[in-house]
Amino acid sequence: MKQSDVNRLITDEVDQIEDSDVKQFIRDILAFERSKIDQNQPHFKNEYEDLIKKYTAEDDD
Amino acid sequence: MTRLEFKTIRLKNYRQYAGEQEIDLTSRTGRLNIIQGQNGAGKSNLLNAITLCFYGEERRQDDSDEDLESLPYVTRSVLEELDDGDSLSGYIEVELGTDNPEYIFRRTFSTYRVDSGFTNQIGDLTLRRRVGSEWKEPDNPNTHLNQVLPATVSDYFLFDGEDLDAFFEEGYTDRVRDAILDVSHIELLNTSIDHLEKVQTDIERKASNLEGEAGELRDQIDELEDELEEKESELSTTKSDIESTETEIERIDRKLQDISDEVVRDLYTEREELEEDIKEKESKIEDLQKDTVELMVEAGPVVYSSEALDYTLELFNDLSDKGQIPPKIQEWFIDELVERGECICGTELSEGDEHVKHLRELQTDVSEVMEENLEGKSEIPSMKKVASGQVDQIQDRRQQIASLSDEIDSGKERIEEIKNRLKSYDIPDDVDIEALEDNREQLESQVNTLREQKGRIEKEIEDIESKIDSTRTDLHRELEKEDRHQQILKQLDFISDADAQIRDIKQSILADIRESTEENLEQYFNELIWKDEEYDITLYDDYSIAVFDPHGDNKIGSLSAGEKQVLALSFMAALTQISGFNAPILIDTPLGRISSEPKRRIAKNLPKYVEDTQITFLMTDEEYTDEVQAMMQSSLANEYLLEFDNNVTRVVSHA
Repeated sequence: MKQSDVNRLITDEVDQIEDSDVKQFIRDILAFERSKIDQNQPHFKNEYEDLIKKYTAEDDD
Repeated sequence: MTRLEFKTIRLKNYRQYAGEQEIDLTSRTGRLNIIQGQNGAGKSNLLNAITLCFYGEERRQDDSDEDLESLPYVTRSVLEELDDGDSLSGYIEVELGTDNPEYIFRRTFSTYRVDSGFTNQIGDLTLRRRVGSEWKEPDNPNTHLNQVLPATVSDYFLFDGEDLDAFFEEGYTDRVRDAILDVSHIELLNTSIDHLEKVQTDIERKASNLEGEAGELRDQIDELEDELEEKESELSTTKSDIESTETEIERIDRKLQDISDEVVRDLYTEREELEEDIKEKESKIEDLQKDTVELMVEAGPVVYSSEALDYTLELFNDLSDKGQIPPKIQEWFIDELVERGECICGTELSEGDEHVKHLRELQTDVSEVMEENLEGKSEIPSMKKVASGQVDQIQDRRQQIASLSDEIDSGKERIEEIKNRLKSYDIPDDVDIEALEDNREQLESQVNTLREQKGRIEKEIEDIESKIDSTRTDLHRELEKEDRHQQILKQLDFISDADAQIRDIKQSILADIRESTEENLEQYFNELIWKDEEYDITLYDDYSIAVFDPHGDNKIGSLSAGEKQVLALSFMAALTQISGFNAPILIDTPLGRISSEPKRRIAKNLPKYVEDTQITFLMTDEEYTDEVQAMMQSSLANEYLLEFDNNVTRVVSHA
């Protein structure tokens, strides 16, 4: 299983989410968490906040 | 074979393995490797070597009672020559690959001789990875290891069969749940949820750097979250206390099992059987009680209003006798009369005349009367008949419950007698049975108290979580009142949507995983079990498992030690299948501590265990008999013997 891989059981479920922003956001945070899986307490707040801003700002367009 | 397999394990000066030794496990014609060795020859330490190399920890206690951490990594006989302060080093190298070697993981270790004994040190994990035709040394070997077999999942690929003895004993649902969570990547979802919640709190704080109601609500959430954290940590401590107490009970049980005195062993076996029998009977009582409640719900209203129903029926009959209740006339009968144009009394009937009008009124009345009264009149006896049958069934179940309760009581009395006999039994062995028994009793009572405590904390956590949800809803309502918070609210709503979606995914995946675990578990169990009949296995939402025999009886409470071992081995196999990792499997003493006959019967079916995967069995002479060897012959890749002499083990080919 590669580092970027998330168990297919999960990705299949994510694919079914209707709201495309929420879907992409969840894909992004899962990929982020998967890449940090071997770190005990990875920094995440900035990454999460940036992603949230990105997807909620897109709503305004 | 497209799955990863162990190619070679190289050891230098590790535990019993003095000097440099190499074990070639490459699959050739077959997929099964056998490493056979007597107790103490170093089987468990081969498993330890792999986990020490991969994860920097030894997981298996060896056959001595000494604490692993106090023992030197480096072979004792080599250390003897050292002076205080000197050290010696060794290494463990594990080579993995599919067709060709692809990964070589290596870890060095050193043991220092000090006044009081020895101290160990381990080096960092290193990796050589084949890329094309070249070998490279990546900077992040742990990340690569996580792609091959992360520590959380490794327990289901690299394990000791003796640890499975108690897997399906009391409290097994927690073990099943934890294992399923381990292998399913659910942790990734849990971390995402946890991180989202933390970011949500930060964003809420930004918005509630404010006065008034919103600030107060945010403070309340903070307090509740602190309380939640405290309770969660309390729960985790309680769970680990339960686990360690259960391990302690198992340790005592093993000591008692190992006592050579036949009377003690028989008493112990009898007690174990009685305890299992009681468990099964208690579970039967529970089923019967549920059944009784359902029957009471159905029969209750009729039984409790029996007198009123009798009186009503009496009134009906009375009125009927007096002709005050119209006879039961079907609507179609009046329709036919009108259509025929003649009443049964001979009166001519034509649409629109007074007679027909009267008949039509009668038809309406009869219809209402029939529905409301006449049907009731004929229904009462049949209702009473059904209820009476149900009452008989309730009585029957009550009798069964009473007789099972009596049997449980006498079983418990016998257990008490056995306890007292064991306590007063004097045996030549250097074992204080009374002390062990007292200790066991105390531990059992501790476990019961801890389990109650766990249930209470779980309920408290549920309540706090629900309070947090409702306070959060209030906070968001408060924030909505001010325009300046609109962007923040949008972010919070977005987080809330994402959080809800991830939680839904988690539930859905857990359901899928439960389903595929159940399928795999049933398949492996039926393949491994030595009986001809097929068993149906159900894994319930609360992670409890039912094993139904062909008669539909759930045998989970009365499985023999051998059957439990098969169930546990099947569960481990099912987990490897859903984990998504294609790693090889290595099992130390696969048949655990079960007795000879079932051991022989299960061993015969081991070649069927997790097909298409390389499996290395570390087996005792008792497990790897000539008969088992013959059964495995066609699937064998490599056979080794651990020759143990003068506390040093040499690995020799057993071909």
